[in-house]
Amino acid sequence: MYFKIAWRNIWRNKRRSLITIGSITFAVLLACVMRSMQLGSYERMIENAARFYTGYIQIHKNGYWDDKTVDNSFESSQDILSKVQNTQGVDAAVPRVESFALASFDNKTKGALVLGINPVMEDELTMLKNKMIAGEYLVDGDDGAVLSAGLATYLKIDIGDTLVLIGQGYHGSNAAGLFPVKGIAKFPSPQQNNQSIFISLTKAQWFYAMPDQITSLSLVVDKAKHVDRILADLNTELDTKSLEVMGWKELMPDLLQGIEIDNISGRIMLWILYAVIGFGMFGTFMMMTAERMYEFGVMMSIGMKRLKMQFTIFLEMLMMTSIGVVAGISISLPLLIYYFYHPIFMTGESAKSIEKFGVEAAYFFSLQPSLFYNQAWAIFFMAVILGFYPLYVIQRLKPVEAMREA
Amino acid sequence: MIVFKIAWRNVWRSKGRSAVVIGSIVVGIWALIVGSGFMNGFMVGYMNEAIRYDISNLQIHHPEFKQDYDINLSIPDGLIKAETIGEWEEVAFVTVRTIVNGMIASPKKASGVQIRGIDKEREASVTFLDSLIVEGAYFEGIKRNPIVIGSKLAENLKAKVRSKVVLTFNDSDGNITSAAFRIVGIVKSSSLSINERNAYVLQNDLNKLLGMGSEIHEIAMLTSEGVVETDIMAKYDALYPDDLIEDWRLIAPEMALMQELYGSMLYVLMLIILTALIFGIVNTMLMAVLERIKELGMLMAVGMNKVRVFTMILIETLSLAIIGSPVGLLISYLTISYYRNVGVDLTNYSEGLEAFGYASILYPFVAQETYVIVTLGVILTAFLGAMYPAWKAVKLRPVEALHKL
Repeated sequence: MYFKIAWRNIWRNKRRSLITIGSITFAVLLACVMRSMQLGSYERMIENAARFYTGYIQIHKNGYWDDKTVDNSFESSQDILSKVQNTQGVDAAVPRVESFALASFDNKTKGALVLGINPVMEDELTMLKNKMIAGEYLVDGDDGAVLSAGLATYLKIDIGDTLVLIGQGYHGSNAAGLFPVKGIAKFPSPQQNNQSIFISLTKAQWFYAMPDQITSLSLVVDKAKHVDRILADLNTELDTKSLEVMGWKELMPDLLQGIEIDNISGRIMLWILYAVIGFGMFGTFMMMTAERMYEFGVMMSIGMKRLKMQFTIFLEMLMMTSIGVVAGISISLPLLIYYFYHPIFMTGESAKSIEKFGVEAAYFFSLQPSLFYNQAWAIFFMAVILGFYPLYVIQRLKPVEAMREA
Repeated sequence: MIVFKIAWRNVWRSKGRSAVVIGSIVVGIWALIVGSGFMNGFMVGYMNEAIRYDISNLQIHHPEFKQDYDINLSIPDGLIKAETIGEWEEVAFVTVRTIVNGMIASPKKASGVQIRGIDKEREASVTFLDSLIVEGAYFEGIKRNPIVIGSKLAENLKAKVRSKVVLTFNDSDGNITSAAFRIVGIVKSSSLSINERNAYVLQNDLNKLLGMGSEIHEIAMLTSEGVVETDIMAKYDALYPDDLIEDWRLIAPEMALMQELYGSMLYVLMLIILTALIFGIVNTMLMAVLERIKELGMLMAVGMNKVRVFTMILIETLSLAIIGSPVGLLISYLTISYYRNVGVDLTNYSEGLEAFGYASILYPFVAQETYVIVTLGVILTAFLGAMYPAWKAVKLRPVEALHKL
């Protein structure tokens, strides 16, 4: 009965109800868009950083992360590789040999980070090829080296010159080698740009006297949100006594910290948005109540109980809120799906300075299901709480005055 | 003129309705100002922590020094130059440093470190290093070779205040030199380099060990408020073209990137809030006008023309905005000044912060002009928001309107 009355009340004055429902729909839509953008930007930050260098997950010999020397390398056996590649969600496993050596040319010498890479796989992970500014990129088993631009400038070395590398190899052996410079790559981060040397993996294993050994295996995963599950899978699959499996959170604590802090500011913004939309909704509720004073007065004077009337109004609010929330989600979902695949690109000065870093200057959106769920509930509860206003008004209503005022 | 009068009376005739519109204007102004204040607070509290405590606004080096930290590449006449800059109006404080990369060792462990020879008073005025001390004191209590290190480094070395550590580095002739220092204080910050990679000693101690007199490697400065860094760079370049002067954007480009990303994000979030505000105002105004269909129909029936009805509704909105804005401004001003003093404690929002050694209190602030821009923006919004309902009102046909309840 109440249900029927409430339902009819809503459609009796379509215009008024539609405005109220509209304000709720819009609130859900805006909250979803805001949160989606925030989460999308974090997802993109993680992806950028992972793509920048580390990958989402790395596997090393136990203890390597604390003491990064070639002595802490491991054999990239077929067994490990197949276990890793057979883990669901792992797209590729990129092997690296990474260590320091002195790079020397003519009478200039500098400590440099030597990276033995698989040229094809590395390019898939970090898009190294796109960073080349001169010469040629490495091929599998290449004898040459690709230098970062800052290092090349410091050493005053050019393509075709021969670079001398001296370092310490596996278990204290001497590592020394000559590498013709094949190409030069430029990196946005000064740290990377001033000290990186890339050589082929086989050449690096020869240089450090550690055939078949690698220092790290970086994993490309299909989706960032699967990282935790993949980590758990790998930890059960692999022998964790000899190997350590680390996710991006451990690999890049700075990034995690940045996101953590940014997320707090994001939530503050969200609360401010709630305040604004809450007030907007309250405005429509208040208007609605004011408009219906006469009606309430009449109802009461012909004998409807306050409590029953309140119950009916509450049902009305509940229905309108539900319709609004559902409508809001069903509008935001396709909209955000569209923008998830078509990020909005920025223009102008700031876009240029962002792109200098090899980061796409665009607004990205997230499609995490929890986002829609959370926003829908938040707005629903807000609407229900604000819906107590008309109940309060009815509680204090004096029929005669109400009718006269209206 | 009569339209003004009617509009003004209308505003006060229906107090509840006016209160809602005024309220949404107040909330709008408050949301935008407080929102940008919090964002500013975050920018300073989080990103600028590294700039404030570590990098400073500007640094000067020998042009080749940073490539390899060769200690023989000092700034020629560095101290004199620092004096000169210190007298510039645009520069608030200047400090000079000697920098050498080396090793720090405790009986338990050794670690790579950047040793910074500082002038303790001037360093405190530029980087507020003294404010980061969490244990011990800022170069007080230990006479001979005091050293200040970061909390993470201390943890790694398993060293405490008054522990002895040995620094090893190459002196200016290339000879390996070692010297014992005693930890006088431990600093903690969200910046990784301060926590883990830096060690601060007194410049005199370090220069004596390096055998390099009063030469310095780095001049760091803090600009006066509102000064553009590039202006100082141009001024310095004109005077001493042989040195390399860089602002924090050049020194830490990733931070500049963060700022750009952050700024662009902030811009969009504000836009979303503004949209919500417009929608709220349009909604309320729409209801307010539609509620008065009968009344407006009556006015039109007794001969008020459409232009006047339209103007009347706009004037009503404008009056409401003019009443609402000072209230909104006052509330935002009070909110901001309150939190500016007290700070916003974010400990409850994220347990993560404390673990990172991050001061989880942020201090929001807004520039003067923000108040003006936001107020004008919100009034304009209200005005535009009233356009649609006013238009609807004009299109009413008096007879039909009177018929409706």
